[in-house]
Amino acid sequence: MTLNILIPAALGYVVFLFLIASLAERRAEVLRAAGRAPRFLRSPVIYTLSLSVYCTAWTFYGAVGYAARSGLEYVTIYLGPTLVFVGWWWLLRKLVRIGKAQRVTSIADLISSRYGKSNAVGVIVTLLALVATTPYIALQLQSIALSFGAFAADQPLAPKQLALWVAAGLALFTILFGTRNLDANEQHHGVVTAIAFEAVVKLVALIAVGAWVVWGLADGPADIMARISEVELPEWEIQMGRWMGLTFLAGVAVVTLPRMFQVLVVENADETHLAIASWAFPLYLLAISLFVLPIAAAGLTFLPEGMNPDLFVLSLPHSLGQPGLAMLAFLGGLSAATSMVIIAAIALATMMSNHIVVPLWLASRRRAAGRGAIPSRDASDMRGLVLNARRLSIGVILGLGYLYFAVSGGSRALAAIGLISFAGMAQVLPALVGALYWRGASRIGAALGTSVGTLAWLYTLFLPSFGPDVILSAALMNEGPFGLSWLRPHALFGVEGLDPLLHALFWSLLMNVAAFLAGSLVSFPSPVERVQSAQFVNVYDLAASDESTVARGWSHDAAENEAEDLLAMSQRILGADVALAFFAAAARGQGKGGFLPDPTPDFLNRLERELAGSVGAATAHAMIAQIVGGRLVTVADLMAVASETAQIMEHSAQLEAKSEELARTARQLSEANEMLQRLSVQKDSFLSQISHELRTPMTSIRAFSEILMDDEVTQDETLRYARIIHDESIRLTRLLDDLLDLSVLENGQVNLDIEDANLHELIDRALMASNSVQPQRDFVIRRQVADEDIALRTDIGRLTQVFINILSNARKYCDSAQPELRIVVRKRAAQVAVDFIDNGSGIPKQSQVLIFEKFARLTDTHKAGGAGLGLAICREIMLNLGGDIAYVPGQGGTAFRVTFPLVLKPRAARAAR
Amino acid sequence: MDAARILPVVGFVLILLPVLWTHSGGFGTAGEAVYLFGLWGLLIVAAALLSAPLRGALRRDAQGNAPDARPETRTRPVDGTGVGTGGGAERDGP
Repeated sequence: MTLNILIPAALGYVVFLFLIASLAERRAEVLRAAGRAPRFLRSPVIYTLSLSVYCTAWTFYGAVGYAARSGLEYVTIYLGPTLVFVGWWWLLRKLVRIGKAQRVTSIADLISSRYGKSNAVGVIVTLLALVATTPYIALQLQSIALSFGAFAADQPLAPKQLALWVAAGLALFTILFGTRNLDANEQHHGVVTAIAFEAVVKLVALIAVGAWVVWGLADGPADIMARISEVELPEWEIQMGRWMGLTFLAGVAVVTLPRMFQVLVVENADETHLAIASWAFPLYLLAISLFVLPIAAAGLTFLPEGMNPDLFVLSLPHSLGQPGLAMLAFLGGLSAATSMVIIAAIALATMMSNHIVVPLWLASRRRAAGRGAIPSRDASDMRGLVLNARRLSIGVILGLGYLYFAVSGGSRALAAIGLISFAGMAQVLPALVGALYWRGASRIGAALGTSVGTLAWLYTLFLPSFGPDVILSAALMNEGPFGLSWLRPHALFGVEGLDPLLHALFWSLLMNVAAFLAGSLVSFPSPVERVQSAQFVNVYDLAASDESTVARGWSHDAAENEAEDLLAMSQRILGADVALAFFAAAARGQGKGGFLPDPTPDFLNRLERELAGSVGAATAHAMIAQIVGGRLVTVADLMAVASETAQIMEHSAQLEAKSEELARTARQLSEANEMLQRLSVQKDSFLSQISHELRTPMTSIRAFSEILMDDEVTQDETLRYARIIHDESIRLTRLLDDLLDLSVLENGQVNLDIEDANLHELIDRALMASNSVQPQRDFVIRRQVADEDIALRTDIGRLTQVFINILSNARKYCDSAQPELRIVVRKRAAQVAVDFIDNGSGIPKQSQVLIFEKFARLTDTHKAGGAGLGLAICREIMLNLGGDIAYVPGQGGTAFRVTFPLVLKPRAARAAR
Repeated sequence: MDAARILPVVGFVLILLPVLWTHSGGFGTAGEAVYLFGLWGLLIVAAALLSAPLRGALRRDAQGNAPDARPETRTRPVDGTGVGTGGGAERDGP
């Protein structure tokens, strides 16, 4: 078999994966649009299979090599995770619960969120993860390069060049699928489904090779056992220290590795899936490692000496005349490697964008705003920035992986490389365990412990892993820096003769824990930290009582007018639709109408969590703090945290729930009352307004007709006065027409003239018609013509009337020097929403509710030149058309949203609603 | 629940046994492999048996506390059902 077959097979496989991912994504979207949960895509089976991203090329190729070199030791890598999963009730359950409660996006986010939403801690963990994952990615690249090499022993092949192509291809795939959109939950249906599929491929491939070895090459299990005993080496003897150390390390890694955290916590759809994974995932591990030892023994028996044991899985079937099996094994290895790289890159890219790029960008914007270079209320969409940051990060991550592969030479045992990563990520453990179980753990302690542990790991394991004279000089490695022998990387403080891995693990974790404890004991946690620590450590107790009584980050109402700023900011992160929906829902929850809820502490907390799902806790917190100021935590809140008597909490929870309900009812009542009063006032003012409006033209008509009756009027004057009378009566008629129209609309007696039309032409017509208003003003109109191509069936004339009215208003009232109008069309199910957004100064909040009332005018009558009935009529029309018109705040100008159904149902059906 | 907590501890102790055998001569790698995989299988069976009641406990807790929207339905467009948004999503109950 040659590369001519291999490369197309590999490419074809990747294209197939791509199809699976995109099908899953599309399916999830369809279901989401229909308001249903993607049940299969989020099933326990898929969850368990996606966890198998733990088994990478290290497992697929490296485990056999590991077994051939060191006997049974390889199983520790799977026994550790087995213990952690079997004991899920201890750690994983809490981790997943907190991950969901706090909308955690990554392990760095979890730790930074727990330690007072401190971004510094997040940055430390992110950098650690980046460095620690680098060898792991290099391992995958190396295994793919090796596997190509095993097939093409006779062909000249540059492994480095090959690895470069592989890295570039994987980066492309990850970017295409991991960063297509910004999900508020940071979940990737498509990728997870593809990973689950790859899990099946690699398991099937390894079992197929194993079964062939046991029943094809050897004569069944008994024979293979005999062969294992035959090839047993003295090095295979189990070493106490390594056995325990590796079991522990693997158990830690299965939680702390960024990619494992991603699939375990972030992508988890339902906590109960964990119960199934608790036995199903160990079962997967058992199945995948069952045939490792037999394959290793067979490789040592049947293959000539000197073959790389890391490639036995491939070279056994390849050299013993099983090309089909060899191809399957090749694809299995490819699956194992690609799935790891994809998930690891997504997880790391999320961390890098949330903890490094976005905070830097925000800081630079703040500085720019401080200098006045950009407006302080900035409406640009941040999602593009976040996505691009992630794309760039993915490139950087794979680039670093390739660099490690190229520098380290790509010839070391796979398992040894993987263990370096494990030991690196284990440095998160003290801070993580402290976060979950120790209220006293503080930000200083976590930052200190993690940094010290990381430095120790770098010095004793990571840097020496390149070999002497690559980064650390041979002299330094043998004699220590400056000849200080007690500082030798592999014999720190004179501890000699220990296995380098154990040595590094021992010292780095010891220093880490010591610094963590010392830092935590010495420092005093900030208020936010204490609140967060209660939410993490006591997550079960707190959830049992009402959430509103427990500690929260925001304890004062923000000022009313800040709600609009919050909305503007949320739109930049969540997107306009999601943010508006969130705000509207919150407003309804408070018993209010419209888009702007009262910025209560409860609302601020919910908003922050919603945002944290996209940009991480630290950034979300900082962004909200920027708007509402530093009003964080009060003594009362801390008291609430401190008093942990469940009874009191529950009692006050009930009271608070009741009082909140009462407050809501009261607010609704007072709103209704206000409405009634307003209506009464309105009725009076309507009468007086209408008399006034009717009287003015009447008066002038009367006055001029009296003049006309006089004899001494010249021909010219007669003409002039007659024209005035004519104009005034036209105005009078128009007013009466409008009033008549309004009353017909209000009574629902209007006859709708339903016809077919295209929205695009409709907007064209409205624009043309409204151009006559203030024609001297030059408006820039921004439209998305492609979106507008929507077929409608409704009363086209009435709808055009509404559009013309809004457009004319914009022409009249937009006070920008370079007026600009955006028309945004969105189709959602059977509804169309058309937004008209200008760049003027908008409508003040207190006037927003008034503008749809009759005779409501924000400016002087004569300047406006109308009776103030336009928007009232618009609203009545839209209600008659089964839709609505609303003012949308926070869009950087005056914005009206007109929503209506694509197809207007007959009147009887509408009335029934 | 206590059984679920004890299980990994028992597992860890039993996993260490082969280390002690090695010191006293041992059964050879093949024998140890049979023991370890047998133990592994037992752990899985035990975890599977325990998982059903634990899952029930999780679900009861979840129902007791947060009857409203699951995370999946969270980002639905404005249609009234989204009122639970955020309010319940982050509070799936203990």
